[in-house]
Amino acid sequence: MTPSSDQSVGEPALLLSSFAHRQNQFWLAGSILAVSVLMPVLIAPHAGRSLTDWVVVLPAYAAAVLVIELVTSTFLFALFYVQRSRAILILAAGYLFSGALVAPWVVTFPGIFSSLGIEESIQSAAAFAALKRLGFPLFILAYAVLPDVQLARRLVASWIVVAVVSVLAVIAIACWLVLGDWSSLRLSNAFMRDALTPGLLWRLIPALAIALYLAGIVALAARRRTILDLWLVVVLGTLLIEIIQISYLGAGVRMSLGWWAGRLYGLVSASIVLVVMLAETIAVYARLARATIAERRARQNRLTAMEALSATIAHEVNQPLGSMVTNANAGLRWLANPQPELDEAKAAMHRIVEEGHRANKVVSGIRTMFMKGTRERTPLDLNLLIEQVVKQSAVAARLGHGAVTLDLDCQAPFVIGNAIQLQQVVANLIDNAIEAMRAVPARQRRLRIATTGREHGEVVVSIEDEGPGLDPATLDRIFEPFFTTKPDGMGMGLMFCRSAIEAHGGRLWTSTNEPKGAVFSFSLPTSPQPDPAPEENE
Amino acid sequence: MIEADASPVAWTMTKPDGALIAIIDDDAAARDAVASLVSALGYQTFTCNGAAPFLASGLRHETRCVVADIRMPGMSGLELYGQLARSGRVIPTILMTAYPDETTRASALAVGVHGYLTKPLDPEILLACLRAAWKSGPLIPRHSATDTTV
Repeated sequence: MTPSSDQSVGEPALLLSSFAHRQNQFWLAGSILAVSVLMPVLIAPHAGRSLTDWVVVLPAYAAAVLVIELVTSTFLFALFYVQRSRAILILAAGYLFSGALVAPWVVTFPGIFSSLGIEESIQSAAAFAALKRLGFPLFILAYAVLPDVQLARRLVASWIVVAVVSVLAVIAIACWLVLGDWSSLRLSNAFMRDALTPGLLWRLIPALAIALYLAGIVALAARRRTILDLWLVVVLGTLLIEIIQISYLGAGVRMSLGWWAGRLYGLVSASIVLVVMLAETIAVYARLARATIAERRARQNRLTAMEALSATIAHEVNQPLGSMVTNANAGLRWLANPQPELDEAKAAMHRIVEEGHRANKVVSGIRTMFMKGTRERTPLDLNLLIEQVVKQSAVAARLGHGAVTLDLDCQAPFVIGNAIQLQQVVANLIDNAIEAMRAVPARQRRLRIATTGREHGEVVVSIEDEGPGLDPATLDRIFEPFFTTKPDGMGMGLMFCRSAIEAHGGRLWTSTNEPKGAVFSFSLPTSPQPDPAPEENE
Repeated sequence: MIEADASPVAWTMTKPDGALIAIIDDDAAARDAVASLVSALGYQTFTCNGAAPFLASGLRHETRCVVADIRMPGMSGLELYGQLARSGRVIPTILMTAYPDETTRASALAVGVHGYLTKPLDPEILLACLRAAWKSGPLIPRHSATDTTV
């Protein structure tokens, strides 16, 4: 679904008037039009039959059209209020115009309200009908043809007032012209020759209306972008069928079967936009509800992760703090004994220092994970970075008699990334690998770190150990926060590694090492333009 | 950090007293700290990095009192006590935790645990607990013949 281009500038494409229509809507609109064409064909032979008795239904029909069109207009004004599109304002005014004209039309319709003492004229009702019939398609034409602009936010309310007042003023003037005492219209037979038969002028109106409807359909079809445009085509289509039925199939004779069938179309036509808007409103509401639920769930997940994270951090800091207090107490006791044990006290002090460093490491680890600096990205030589980490974390010494092999691809291109974060990732994975080989006899510990430049623009780093390998039972959980297989593990390492690598646009995965052990690999996208000057990592 | 010969059970001779206090905690630093404190209070200790190594250790039968962390991977401190209670020789047990909660405390004391202490340990409370545990000594139920874990 592509939102319309010039409409709804800066607004999310969530409103009916800014949605591009979907294929299924298109077919639905098409089939409604097709069925609409079918009916006049079926009733054509009987279209001229007179159904004069049905005149009592006319006020109900008029009331229905009036209410439907005014509600549609209100809906469109509301839409304009949020969207500020001039086209929507024109359309809203058109529906207001069309709906409001129903009142004088039905009041002056011959033989309905005469009992109320309303002076009626066969000419006036026809004049109002003509005005409605020609006015409405003009509004739609204006909607379709005029370039749409978004009106200033502070003037929106004023625009609505201006539109409503002008439409009502035009109708008042029309009433005055048609119904005024001086008006010669009522004496003429311009519109109607008698109560049921149209006059000369009325012969022109349908032709003119048909021309306007067709022009409107063409303009909308040319514009055909939004759901609203699509359904307005259907509106004009049904109006077209209506006028054909009333004026030609019913031979223009009021109260004929064709005329009544046409009225039915008028009612359908008046309702289309309202129904579509209501349906879309419900659909938008449902989408909104789904989005809200999804958002709430996401926030809940974030909260849970944050709670768990802070609990872990608290635990990680608490542990050394507790040991420091206990060691200090032990030291005091050793000194307070009748024969002070200085060596024991000294050992306790040393342990306090160690634990202080341990707590500090946790805190600075968190800093590296979350601080601002982690967002800075520069071109990096991964090989250099790995060599530095291997040196810094004294890998060789920790492996004891084991061997560490660096198998670095000197052709591997640079990557764009954050040196501190990537160092942390490599150091974490190396720590894990060494940890995994804890139970392996020292001479058989083998750690291999390799980089490979891949052709499709990525560098793959793999860290291979010859430990017992990954337990298939827990394989899918190793990246979860707080999952750990180490007795004193925090369960944060792999989670951090994965999120850091993914933040760099890469992937982190595991595989099995041959003949035994585990491989942790990550890929990073290579920089598009390698910087000739390598980034200093320290 | 791999110690070339990391033994799960280590023992420190402080007083040639014969009976031992086992300090069981998976966190090495916490374990050493508690062991040092208990030694400073005048007891002879040995340390284990988990419940299972303690149960497997030969020093188990010379242990007069167990000081164990509750939250440990594998077997928790409370489970260790359950294991001891089911075996023939119930060693007085003091549990410690950095995350005390009333429910665990109540259930631990209900099954006969000697003490439920909050980390970091208060030396006076620890001493009182140790004295009480020491006095009660290992309990040998009548059906000691069911001790099959040896």
